[in-house]
Amino acid sequence: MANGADRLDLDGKPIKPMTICMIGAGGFIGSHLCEKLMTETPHKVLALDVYNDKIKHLLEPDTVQWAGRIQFHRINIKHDSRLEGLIKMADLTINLAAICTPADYNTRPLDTIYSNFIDALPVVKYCSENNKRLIHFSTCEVYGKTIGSFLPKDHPLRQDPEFYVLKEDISPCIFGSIEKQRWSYACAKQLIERLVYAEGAENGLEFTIVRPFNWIGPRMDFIPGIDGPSEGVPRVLACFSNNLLRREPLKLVDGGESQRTFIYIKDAIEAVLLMIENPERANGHIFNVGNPNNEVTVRQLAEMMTEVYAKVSGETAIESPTIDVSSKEFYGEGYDDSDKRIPDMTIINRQLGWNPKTSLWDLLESTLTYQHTTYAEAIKKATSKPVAS
Amino acid sequence: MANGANRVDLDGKPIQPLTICMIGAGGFIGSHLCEKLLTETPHKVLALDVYNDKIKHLLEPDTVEWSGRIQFHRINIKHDSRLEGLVKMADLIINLAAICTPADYNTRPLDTIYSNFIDALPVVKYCSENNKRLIHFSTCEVYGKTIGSFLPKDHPLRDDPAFYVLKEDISPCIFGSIEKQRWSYACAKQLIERLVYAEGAENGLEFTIVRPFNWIGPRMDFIPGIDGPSEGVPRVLACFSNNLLRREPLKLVDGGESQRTFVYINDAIEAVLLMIENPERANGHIFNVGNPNNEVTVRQLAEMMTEVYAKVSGEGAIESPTVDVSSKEFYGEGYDDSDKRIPDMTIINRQLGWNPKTSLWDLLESTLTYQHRTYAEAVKKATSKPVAS
Repeated sequence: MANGADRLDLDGKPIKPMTICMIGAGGFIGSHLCEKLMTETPHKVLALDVYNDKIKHLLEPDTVQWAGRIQFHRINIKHDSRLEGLIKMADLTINLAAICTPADYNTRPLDTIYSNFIDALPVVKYCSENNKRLIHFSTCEVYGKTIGSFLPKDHPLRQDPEFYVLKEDISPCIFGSIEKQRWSYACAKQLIERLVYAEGAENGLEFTIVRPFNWIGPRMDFIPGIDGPSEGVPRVLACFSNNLLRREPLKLVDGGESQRTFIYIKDAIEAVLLMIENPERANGHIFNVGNPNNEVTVRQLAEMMTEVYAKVSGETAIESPTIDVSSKEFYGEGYDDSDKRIPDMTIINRQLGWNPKTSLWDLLESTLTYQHTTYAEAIKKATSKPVAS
Repeated sequence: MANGANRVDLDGKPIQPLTICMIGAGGFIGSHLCEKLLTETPHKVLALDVYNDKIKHLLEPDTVEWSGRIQFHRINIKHDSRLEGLVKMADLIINLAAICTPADYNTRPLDTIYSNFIDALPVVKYCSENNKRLIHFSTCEVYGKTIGSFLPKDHPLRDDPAFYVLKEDISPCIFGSIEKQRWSYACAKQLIERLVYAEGAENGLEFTIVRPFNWIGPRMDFIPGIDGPSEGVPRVLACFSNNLLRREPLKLVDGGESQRTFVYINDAIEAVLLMIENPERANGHIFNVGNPNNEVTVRQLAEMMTEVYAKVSGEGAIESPTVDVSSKEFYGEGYDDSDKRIPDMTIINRQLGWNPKTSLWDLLESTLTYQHRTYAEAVKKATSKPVAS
């Protein structure tokens, strides 16, 4: 690797080695970002999380080429006095913490609000007070529903991009009523974005906000009962992976009619690296990071995954690959959802020259190959054991 | 007054005397609510605020008939350890605190977010932990914009009530993008509502949420330079009152095309008293409190106020009663607004049998009579003095 050679930013200036404090480094996104930073850049990482399973391969053995450049700190940012000191040591803080799952938004809104708003406050405060740059990970959930979703079915304006394409600087944030508790997460994320933006406007905080649109890849979430709680409900791709691994029907919530876009984690990490290394172009902006070309309904996703999994596993697809369940049954009372989430890419193209590359078929093949390789044997063992009940 | 006589609730049951801890008692709404409680009910009030000018007439002299039933506590809830003890002493807590003004939302979003979300947290926590009932004052701002406002002008659906009438349990919360910092207030208020609702759903908190739609009456806000900061920008009615008192043109932001509904404070306070005294009917609900029959554009409001003020003051109306200013000039960069705010009254009618009574003309006459009587002499003196500059 040309780690130390003259790497240049988008404006042709040499990129200086940075110390990066990464909060939530042990999660899915954090693990891929750490990997990228270690293998392709000279930057140093202070990796903060409560778990490090997904970055174990970067921390051991001591003989790896980047050994001195990554330090793991077991910290829960909610109540750890070491946080401020670590932020002071860094040039840049990346906050990936508290990415929740839809099942939690609906049934545990108090925890959701606290972990996504209140627990993020100290990070913003320390960055602002210590003049440190912040890359804040948010969510495409802040857009909520589309304007078009309120129009009568078959209304012509539903096809107008202005009524469904999501633009960082123009599109509104539309959430359902208070009793639809599912929106607690989106609302907490919207308010912390507004606070970060306000710190920038009032106190000069150098910030960048990232809105991920379904980043998919190896190490995403967990498989219930294997490397996460057996009653846990991860996000849609991990849920479907779990169903495929166990040769169970894939559960489609409310018919799986919601439309979503999916992007390969490695494409997304390229975008994040550009933000890290181009502060003049990234500071003060909010960026959608997604792939508008990879849009499917959740039902179509299930069909594609079934087909791809049969290919990578060598097993035949099961007879009835999907089953419909209601959102109430799956997520609980008060669930509500967005119909469509297509990111506009104008700002990220203009500021960072970034475009996603990987098709949905390719990203599913890569991800499901990993899922099969990693979990198939463990699932076989788990399902063959008698379970006390 | 039949203060102690057998007053009954809407279900015919005797109303027990309550001890009410009122946070923000010294504000506009608080002053009218205290007055109502002391003159028409046997309830006791612990009045918490940092100022008490607007309730001075209720605190002195000691010989008034209700003197033992109201205690003023000078407390800033942001950092006062006495708050929890006072919550424990009460049967019901009413939180009116931190009602801000649009000029602050836009230019001081950090203070807005802290005062409207973070500073409200201890109140909710203490009520939940001590099993105390909470009436939480929110704002109609949580509805944000209407769905109809995104449709092309003259589109037929713009006139469909489903696209503009605001229902507590159905209508979405629609805010502009993050750079429209004006929505910081609405977003903080939405999130605290979600937290209150979640405390109810998860921890059994008995709560009622009130969404006021432009409550208008004597003692509203302040007159800049007289009983508030001279550079302060109060809400629209107080702003226009100030212009009328000084015989200046009324400033219409962006042509004054926004439509709003106004309700008389005495009508609104009747609704609040019904909530206080009918917990079984009020708990767990969010209530719009407004008057859908009193809808006008801000420009029309200005015209009506000019006419009413000329009548109550006996002075002729000035030649050019209004002047147009841009929102950027008046509120600062990033301002945005709702086009229309009509409250649906179904839930408050059904649960509490309440309807507003007072017409817009009558409420303006009552309010402007008060403004003229209270401030005309002071403004005259202030404008006749030379001001060092």
